[in-house]
Amino acid sequence: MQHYVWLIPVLPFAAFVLTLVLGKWWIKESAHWLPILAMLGSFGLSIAAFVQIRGSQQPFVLEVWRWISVGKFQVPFAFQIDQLTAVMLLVVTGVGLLIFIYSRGYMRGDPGYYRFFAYMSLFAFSMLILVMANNYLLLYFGWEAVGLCSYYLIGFFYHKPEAAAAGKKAFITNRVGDFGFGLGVMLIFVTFGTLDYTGVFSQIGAGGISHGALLGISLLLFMGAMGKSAQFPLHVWLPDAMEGPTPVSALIHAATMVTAGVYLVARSSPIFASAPSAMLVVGGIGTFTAIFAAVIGIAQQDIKKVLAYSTISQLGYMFMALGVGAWSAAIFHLVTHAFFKALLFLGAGSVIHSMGGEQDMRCMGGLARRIPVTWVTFMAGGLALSGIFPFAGFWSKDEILGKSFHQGIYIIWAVGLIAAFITAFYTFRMIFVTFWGKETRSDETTCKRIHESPKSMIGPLILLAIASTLGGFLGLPGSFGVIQRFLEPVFAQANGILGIGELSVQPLDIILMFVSLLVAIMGMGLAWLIYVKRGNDLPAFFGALFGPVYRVVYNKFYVDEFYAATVVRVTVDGSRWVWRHFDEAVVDGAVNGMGTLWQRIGARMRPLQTGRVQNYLLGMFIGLFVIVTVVVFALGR
Amino acid sequence: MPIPVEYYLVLSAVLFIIGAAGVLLRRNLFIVLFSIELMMNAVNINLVGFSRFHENMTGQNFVLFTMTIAAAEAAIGLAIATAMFRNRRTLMVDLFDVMKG
Amino acid sequence: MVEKILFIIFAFFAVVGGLGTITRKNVVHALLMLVFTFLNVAAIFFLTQAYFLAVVQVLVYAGAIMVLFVFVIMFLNLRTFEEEEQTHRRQRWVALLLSVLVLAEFIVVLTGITFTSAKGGFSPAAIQAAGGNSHVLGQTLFNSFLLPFEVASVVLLVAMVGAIILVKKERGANVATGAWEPGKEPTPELTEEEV
Repeated sequence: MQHYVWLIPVLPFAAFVLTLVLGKWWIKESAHWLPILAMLGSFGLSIAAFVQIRGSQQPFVLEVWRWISVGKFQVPFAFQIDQLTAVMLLVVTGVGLLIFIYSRGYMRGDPGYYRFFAYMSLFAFSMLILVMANNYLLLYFGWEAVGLCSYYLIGFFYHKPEAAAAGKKAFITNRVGDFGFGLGVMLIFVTFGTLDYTGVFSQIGAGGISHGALLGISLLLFMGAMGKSAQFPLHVWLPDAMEGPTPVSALIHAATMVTAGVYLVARSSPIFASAPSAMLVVGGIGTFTAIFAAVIGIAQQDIKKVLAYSTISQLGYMFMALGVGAWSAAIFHLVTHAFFKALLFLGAGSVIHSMGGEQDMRCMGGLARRIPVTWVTFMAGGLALSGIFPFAGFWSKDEILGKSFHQGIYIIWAVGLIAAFITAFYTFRMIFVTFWGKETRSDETTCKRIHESPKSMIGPLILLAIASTLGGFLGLPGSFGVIQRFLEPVFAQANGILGIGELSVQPLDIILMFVSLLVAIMGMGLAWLIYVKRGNDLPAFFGALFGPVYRVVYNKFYVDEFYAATVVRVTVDGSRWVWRHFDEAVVDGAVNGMGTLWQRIGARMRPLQTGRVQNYLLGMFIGLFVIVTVVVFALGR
Repeated sequence: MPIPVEYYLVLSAVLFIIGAAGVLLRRNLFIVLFSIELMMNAVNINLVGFSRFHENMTGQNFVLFTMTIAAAEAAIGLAIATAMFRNRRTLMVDLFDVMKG
Repeated sequence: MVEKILFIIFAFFAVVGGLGTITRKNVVHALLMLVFTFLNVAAIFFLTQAYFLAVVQVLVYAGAIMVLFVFVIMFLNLRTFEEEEQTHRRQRWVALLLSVLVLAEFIVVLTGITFTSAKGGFSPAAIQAAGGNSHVLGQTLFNSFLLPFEVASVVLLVAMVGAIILVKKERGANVATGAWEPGKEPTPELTEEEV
């Protein structure tokens, strides 16, 4: 394995460099070839790694380069492959490959075509580094790099000020979380003396680490996860990130980058398991976010915004699972979510493409007949998201709810169930408003132009739909679950600390499954009632229904406005004050003062240059006098 | 009894200072040139005095050279004075302050 | 003894001549005083048994250089009796003060040092024996100081050429007409007047 593992991130990186450097003059319209081939190669190698690591109790470590080596501080540039990494690799490269192929059709004709693929390749490289790192510092490097690529890609249409602002917002919000993450990494080094996973986890196993340190580390790491995975209150960047092209939303803000937080917590399971209070925090915030975002999603009009809030909500589910110790359930949901959320985003992209760029659902409708393939695949994704049997989302979401019930934290289970209801509701609201009905609520020209998307876009949709339909069978409950058994060695230590075992299927579980299914169908039904039966007087209906409550929800509970009034205002005013009173007065004053000083000195000295030789001779004579005096009196006669 | 060397030195110093004062105090270019010649002469007296004191011919030889140079300098100085006079019709040295500032 | 007295007399007159040079308002008077000084210096050279130099002093300095000065003064046709404003007040006093001070310093230093000498071989008797002052001077000049001698001749050549070039009038050169008064722009007008 050591012979090819390093190629997995290197191939996309090479694609990035070549595409960026040669893109403008040479490759231009064929810019997609190198990245797609690179991802294909990485995907193949990831499969190979996956097969090889099966059942292995120890992770495989490969040191590529002696990165930092300063006395006690040793951080190599090294990769670690274990089952968790293998799963992440497959998700990143597999879904990434499909999205790259999709982008060939979606981004065609855009003037920044080669730039898009270059940045996407760079992102793939960064994400792969993140999941393949064997130590926290290299993970942090990948973490920051994906944040950077996210900034590039969100602000891809840089001519639009909203896109540029969204990119900035994403990066800055991430930075707030990363502040905590950075502190956490430092705390890890201070506590354990090392940064690589094996070293840290073995020391936890040996015992004797202060509980306070572990609690602190977990909370700080989770702070980073909150930023990257858009949990409340650092969720504000994700809806704005929809300014980026739809493939970007699919890859980065659904399937991979935002899941980095989940990966981080899962990877650090022994640390979190040793600090149950931290797990409570994780679970609490995750659950709250799940329902909070779902509620906001009900009221959104832009199809991509609905999906954005849906992503935030589903990420909340993953953290909910992590909070109760259901590690493999969280990863399982990560995988299925990657499938169906990417599918939904790509489908939305297909809808937007056929609508000629329109994203507002109020202008859609009746598309089922016009773009059938998109409609069918989108439906598959929606069913998976809502957790309808036998689609993928059903199995993974149910796993999470079941585990939380078994842990005895019933409030989490209850809230999660309500959130599932709301999820189904907004999902099918979206589907019905977009696809059902007889006519499209747009003008003549747009309606005429509605067409099915090209094959490069349809292909991945179909593949992802298949994955969303069948993928759930990877995670059947109990010991039937392939994915749970596969990931067992990774979480063995954490499970041991918590005292959890993989429970076998009980009758109680089947009842719980039915309950969650029922709830999902109820949500679907409510959406049907409201949006299909009532027909076309939707705008009036919206306003009338809940009035001010609706307004609050529509405005995302005014979280952004709150931040603008407090954090942003303080920072901007503060910096303005510093600018005026320090930069201008002190720094500029010093610099300008230097100049003025010499000017004044020069002005005073200028009259010495009278232009008359006699004056100069007098100066010489004075000098002579001084020298003679000094010599005579200083040196004696 | 040979003349003590200090006599020469004092005379040289006095003549030198007189010449220096003349250079600094007078406005007429010719007087300035005269004062310079006076200073050169003072130096010559010094050299000759030491030549006698050390019983060495170096001093006297050197005086020959200084005289040569003084002559050359006087010639050039006068040539410049002529050119200056042509330009400005005056030889008051403190009126030539074009290099001011 | 006699020599000392003679020396003091000549020195005195030299100083008087020097003072006269720098104080006369009339340029020609100043020139004559300078010649007087030179003659006294030549006398002092005689007293020092530097006979050749004494003669050269009279011939070259008083005879050639001063005559050159006279010529140029006459050429330029200066108003030799013009009322002069003294140099800028401040400079006058500073220069005067400084001169006195430096002179005092020089004298104090020079009279305070005891001079010792490793005598060279040229005592008056030896010079006499070797053939006289000029003879010995010539010998040392052309033996030890040949190179400076040649260089000096080149310097003279350069000075000659330089003087000619500096004084040469270009065709249609601008020559000033009236005397320049302070305050007026120093623009010489085109004239054919000979200077």
